[in-house]
Parts: sequence; structure tokens; C-alpha cells
Amino acid sequence: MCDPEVSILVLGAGGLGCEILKNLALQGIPTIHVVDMDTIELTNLNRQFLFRENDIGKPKADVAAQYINDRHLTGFGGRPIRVTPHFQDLTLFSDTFLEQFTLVISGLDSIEARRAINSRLVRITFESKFQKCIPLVDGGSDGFKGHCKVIIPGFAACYECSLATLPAETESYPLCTVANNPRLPEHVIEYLLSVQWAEAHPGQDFDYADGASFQWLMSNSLERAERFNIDASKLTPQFVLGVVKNIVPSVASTNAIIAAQCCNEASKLLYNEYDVERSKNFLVYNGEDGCFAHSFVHERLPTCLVCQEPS
Amino acid sequence: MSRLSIYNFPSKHLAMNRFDRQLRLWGTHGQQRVEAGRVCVVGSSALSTEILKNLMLPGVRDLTLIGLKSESYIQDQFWDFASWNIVQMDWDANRMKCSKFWECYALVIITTGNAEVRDILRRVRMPPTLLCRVSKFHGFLTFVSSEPHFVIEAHRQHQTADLRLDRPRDQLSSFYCNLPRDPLSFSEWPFAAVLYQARKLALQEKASLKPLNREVLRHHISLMQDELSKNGQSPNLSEAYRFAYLALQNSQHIPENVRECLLLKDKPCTLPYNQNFQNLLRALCKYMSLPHSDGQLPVSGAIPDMESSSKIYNALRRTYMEVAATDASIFGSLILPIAPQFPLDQINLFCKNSRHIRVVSPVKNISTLYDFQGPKSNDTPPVLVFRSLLDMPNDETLDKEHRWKYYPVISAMAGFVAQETTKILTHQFVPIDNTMVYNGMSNEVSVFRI
Repeated sequence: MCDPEVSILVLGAGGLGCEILKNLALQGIPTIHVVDMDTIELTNLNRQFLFRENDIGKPKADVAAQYINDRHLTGFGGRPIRVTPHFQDLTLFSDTFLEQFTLVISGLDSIEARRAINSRLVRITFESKFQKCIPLVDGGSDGFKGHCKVIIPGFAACYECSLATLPAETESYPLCTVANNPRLPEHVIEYLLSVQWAEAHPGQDFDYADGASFQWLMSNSLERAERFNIDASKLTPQFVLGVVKNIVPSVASTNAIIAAQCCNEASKLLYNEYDVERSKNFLVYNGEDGCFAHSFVHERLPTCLVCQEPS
Repeated sequence: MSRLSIYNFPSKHLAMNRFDRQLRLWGTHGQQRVEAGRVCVVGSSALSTEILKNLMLPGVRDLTLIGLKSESYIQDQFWDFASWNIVQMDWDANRMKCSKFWECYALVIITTGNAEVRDILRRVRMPPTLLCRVSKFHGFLTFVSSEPHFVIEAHRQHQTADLRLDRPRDQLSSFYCNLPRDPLSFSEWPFAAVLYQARKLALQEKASLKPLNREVLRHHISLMQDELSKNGQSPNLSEAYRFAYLALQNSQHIPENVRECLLLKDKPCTLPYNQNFQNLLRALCKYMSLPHSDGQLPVSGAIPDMESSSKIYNALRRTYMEVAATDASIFGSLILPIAPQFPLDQINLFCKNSRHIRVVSPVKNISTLYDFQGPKSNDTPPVLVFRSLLDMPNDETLDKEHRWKYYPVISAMAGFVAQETTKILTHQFVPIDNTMVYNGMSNEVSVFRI
């Protein structure tokens, strides 16, 4: 039997977040909080099933919470299942706020936000002299690939310990290439954003959501591509936006797999079936060629700047 | 008007449509296949609801759910099931024992272990089928089809550049030979040109006595670097140094995955996609016997980015694209007598991906699957899990507490099923070959063949 007092904080109400929230509700978790600082866009609707077309523009956290609360579900101990939304930046939560949760599940797309929450939770373990420990289950998805990491702050590998396993950050091109020898449409866009935009619009940040700015980028891209004889057929608005926003592909099925994996780990933690020493805390998934998953024990990094025990 | 043609550009949704994030995975042609694929799910349960949700979201428009009267499942009040436009019907043995009933579906997904369903469907000729079961921490999924499953776009993540430096087509060798040759311009050469040159020099020097190897090539690249400048390293030459192995490829080698496909070129097939693909395979055989091909597969035309001047790189890229276009047009002239009006975009797609085509061999039919269950002494744990789930006489009904505990396993299996479904419908990426077992306790996924 699971303790009806459990409460779970979900980070992100996007593709993974919607799946995580749905699973937790159907897992009978009475107290759920969700934080997300984004609003709903049309392109979310191919996977973020807690939202509908007329929710576009509204905060994701609010709409997701509303959807679940409107179902009037009952969870552990006969308690009503309630989701509390937080439409804000998760790094602004206080430690006292974080300390109320049994565990945290993250479905974020930002590495920095994960690092921030990871170090906060590790600190809570240390400052409570290991009396309080809030596990963090972290999911990530990209196309047909994804990962799930279970972090027991202060007891097993933390998010920071695994940073070295991440693929190199978004590809950036040497400035001399993009300035003098552009060969790819990406080089053209990179130059326009990093050099020409500032020259043409001093003091103004580039905002892809602004029609006129985006139009500027489109027409200048085509012009520059032509000047350097670069094949411009790839330079469609979607392609350009993809480069600008560094958009990764995302589908419902991968999110379902990864979110379920995260919630399954949460189940094991809540039902005391998780072995901190021996359970495989990391899982990577790839569905591009067959169905591949590899799970393993990621050891703590003795030199980790975050979870190295204070002496 | 098709949903795909709606671009709200330049409105606030900015050149976007609902499916933008998945179009980046399988393109508009893949999306058309997703939307056109009729899928039927047999068995009504939390698992089938999750599967239907995962298929409705990416845009599968024609979904059918066949429920069984014996099932006690009540749709979770969580879902707006009614808004999903699912065709619902009851299992009807008389109607469903004819293959005619099933042939309209691109894919059937069986989620129930019901004995009547099993006994009837194992005697019917079925379209491609996914069969899945789940119990507590475990689940399995099997791909069943009387025909092979072919894939043109496997989207291999790490593709070796297709440069053909050992046996370049005439257009390519004349391009490489006509580059400006003074040492100073070496710094502007893309690494492919550097490798071509290094290879040529190495062969001249050795008079083909010893086989080429990386060290010899790298030696010549260093000599070029010395000619250019004794200090420092030109970035294009470092790339050439790093990619020296690309000059050692054997362009006449036919990869195993292609040979596996070719073996099946005359296997009787009825699925339209397979008939088309087999025509492409037959044309490929003819193509390979032409002197033009030199025993090489069609050139893909795509080359990686290379440190170099824009001008030379663009010219090189154009040359590869022209060579690929020539190969594709010769290939096209071979397929048209076999299949008149064969769509041009498919010919080009096939030629571009000819080195990466794949075939998966599903379990032949449902009977084969059930016949597999006799006890074997050397079964691995996943096979044991598979057998026990397959033998489970009834679909699991759990009390509330256990439903809560194991819900994520159902959700995960529904994700796997939907992922395989989209791969099967689009013929992009490679489906499981042919059975997978998920163990939610140990977090293991095992794939094996039946």
C-alpha cells in the first residue's frame, strides 16, 4: 500500500509532462503539483493531449491541471486527486516549497533547468544531514530516442555526475566559416542571427515570433544563399524556424514510453521496490532501428562538484 | 483541403502546423501514410485506450475498436474518448472469420488473449498485425505478417559518406582532376578532393604493389600540408587526415542489408507497397548488371559538409547531385518497362537510400506464434516471460491498488505499440524483428525472433 500522504512535483507540462501527469493521476497520486512557464502552441497538439485548439495561448500548467481536476478522480486513501499549477520559472521555488514533496519528476527540455533542480535537491539532502531525501526522476525525449534517470540525491549518481554522457551541445559553426565560406543553409542563418541582425537592428533582440523580424530573416537568408550559390530549396520557413529555435522532433509514442518509464520508477520508489544500491538508475532508449533499451547503474562521480559530500 | 497544406504563415503560428514536430521525423510523405493508414484495435482495455490515444495524436484518422462482450472494462473517465472519432463495434465471430472483413486495414493490433478471438484469427488471412499482452511488470509485442516488411528510409543515424573515391564515376574524377593544383589552393579543397589526390599519389608511388592503407594516405596528406605551410594545420587537411578511411572504401561492396532484400525480390507479395518495392529491387538487379553501374549501387548524391571554400564545395556538391541524377534516370529507364508510370519521387528516394534499404521478417502468422509455445529447455528469461504472457488464458483484471501500481507498464507498452505502428505505416525507420519483451521491474527490453 502506498502512503496517501505522498505528493509529487512535476517539472514541465509539455510532451513528457502531459504523459507524466496523466500517469500519476491514473496511479492514484492524490497530491500533484506542476510547474511550466510556457503557453500552449498549435505545434504542441500532436502529443500534448491535455490541451485543445482553443487552449492555444493559455499557460500549459493551468490547462493541464484543469483537465485533470475536472475528471474528479479518487486516489490513495480515497482522497481526491488534485493538481496544483505553477505558471512560473521553476528555479524560483524556495527550498521550503521543494521540501514538501515526496519526489520530483522532470520532463524538461532544458539542461540548465535540470541542473538547477538537481543541485537544489542534493543540497536539501546534505543540509538535512541525510534526514530528508527527495528523489528526482528525469526523462528526456528527442524523436524516437529518450532517456530516464533516477537520482537519489546524496546517495547515488546525481544529474551533474552524468553530464559528461550528454552529446555535445547544439552544433555551432566556426565564425570564419559562417562569415566567409558559408556552404550550408544553416551557415547562412547563423551569420544573419549572430552578426547581421545586430548590425541592422542595434539594441533589439531577435524575436522569431515577430512576423516582421522573421520575414527579415527569411528574405535575407534567401539573398545570402543566392550570393554564395547555396542551394536555397531547403530554406523554407519551417526549416529556418527549426534552426533558429533548435527544434528537436517529438512524437506521442516516444513521450509515452519515456514518461511511463519515469512513472514506473516512481511507482517502485513509492512501493519500496527500489534498491538504491543496485537498481539500474539510468536507461537510454532508441526506437529508430527495432526497439533498443539499455539500462545500467551509473556510479557517482567522486569529483562531482554538486554531490561530493561536504567535508 | 489536406491538413498538411495549411501554413499559418506569417501569422502568430508562424509557418507551423499541428504536425510540425513529427514532420521533422518522417516528412510530409510519411505523414500522408500515417493519416491514410486504417488501423483496427481488437480488445477493449486500458492498454487499447492508450494505444488509440497514441495513434490519434499523430494523425491516424481511421481508427476502429472491436470490443468483446465478455470484457468488463469501463472506459476510464480520464479520457474524452468520444471526441476521438473511433469507429466502435462488437466482436462478431461470424463476420470476422472472413479475411474480407480485415483486408481494408493497413494494420490490426490485437490486445486481447481471448480464446475465441485467437482461434478464429489464426485461421484467417490477416493484414500485418501487432499482437501484444501485458501483465503486471511485463509486456510483449510481436509483429506478425505473411509478407516481409521493407524499408527504404531507415534513417540511419551514422551514415558513412558516399564518396566513391576508389571507383569514381567519370564526372567525379574529372571534377577532382580539374581542381586548381597550386599548393596554396590546397587549403580550399574539400577533404574528399584531398583524399582523392592522396590516393592517386599513393597508388602512383607504390605501383599497386601493396594494398593502400590509412598510414600511406596520411603520409601523403602530411606532404600536402608541408607544401602548403610547414607550421600549423589547415582545417580541411585535418579533416582529410581524420576521414582517411573514406578513401579505402570498396564501392562495389553490396551491404548485407541490401542482399537480404534482393533475395526476396520474387517472393509472392500482395501488399501494394511490397509489389512496388519488389519492382524497385528487380530494376536494381538490372541496373547492377549494366556497364554504367560498374557493379556499384546508385550514388546517393548527398555529401557531408567539408571545410573548404564555398565555391569549390558547392561545385563538388552539385557534381555529386548530377551523378546521382544520372544514376536515378538510368535506374528509372529500367523500372518503367517493369512498372509503367512508376512515381519519379519514389525512384529518386530509392536511389538515394539504396545502400540503406532494409527488410524485417515478421512472424508468418498467428498460428506460428502459438505453435512456438512448446516447452524448450534453453529458453532465456525474456522468452519465458513471452510464453507465460501468451499462455495467459484471460486478460488480467487487477484490483484498484494493483491497477494503480502497474499503470505505467500499460502506458509504456501502448507507447511501444504506437511507435511500431507508425514505423510500419510510414515504412520509415525499422520495426522490431520480430518480438520484444518489456520488463518494467529490471528496465530491460529484449528483442528476439520467432
